[in-house]
Amino acid sequence: MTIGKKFMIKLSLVFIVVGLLLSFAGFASSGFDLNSYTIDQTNWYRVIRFE
Amino acid sequence: MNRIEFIKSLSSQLSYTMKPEEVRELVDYYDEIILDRMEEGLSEEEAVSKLDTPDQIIDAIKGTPLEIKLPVSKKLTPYLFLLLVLGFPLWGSLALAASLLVLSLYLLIWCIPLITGALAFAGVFGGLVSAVLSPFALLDGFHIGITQLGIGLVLFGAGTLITLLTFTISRSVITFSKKFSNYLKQRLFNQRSVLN
Repeated sequence: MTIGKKFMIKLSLVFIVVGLLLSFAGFASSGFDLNSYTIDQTNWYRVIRFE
Repeated sequence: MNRIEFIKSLSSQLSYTMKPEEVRELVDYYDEIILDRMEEGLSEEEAVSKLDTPDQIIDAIKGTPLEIKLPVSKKLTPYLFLLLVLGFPLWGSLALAASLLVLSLYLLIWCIPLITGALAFAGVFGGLVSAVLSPFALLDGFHIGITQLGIGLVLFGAGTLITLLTFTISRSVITFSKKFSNYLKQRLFNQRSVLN
């Protein structure tokens, strides 16, 4: 199976859509509360930070 | 007719009426057109079929005046040398300005793939880091880990898309740079010939 340009575009779009759904699910599970993300947000493994 | 057949047919027919270097130039020209169209997404046969047939090309160039080389002395006489030295402040600064202008044009054009490349790298690398570190973020809270994983996937997907875009843009920029360099070379070094 050869990996073509179209396949890569579809794969990227799948990643973006799945990522958006997961982000929404995560945010929804926080009760749509941005303040809940600010706890321990300086830990080295945290990518999402709210200053 | 595919590309090789077209080129063979054209070069064999042209060789009866033109000099070998002229045949090569013309064949290269048509070959480049075919390759450009193939890069744009046409198949080999489609790209060839959009061109005139070799017979039509031969008919079209019949009677076209060929370039003749004028005898130009390339000797550097003392007077010419003196003129060159005395005129250096004028022609030197103009030449420098022109070359810097050309250089800035190249730099400007290459900035586009450079920017998209940087964005692609940031997307892919940031996405990977975000996704790989998301299990640790789960320790701070389930929603934090899931959100980080989601954002990582979005970044990775966007980064991959921009990587593909960078390749496409780079190919176009390389083609443009080659064509522009050839154009400049022709303008600068082929001035000593005139149409008959």
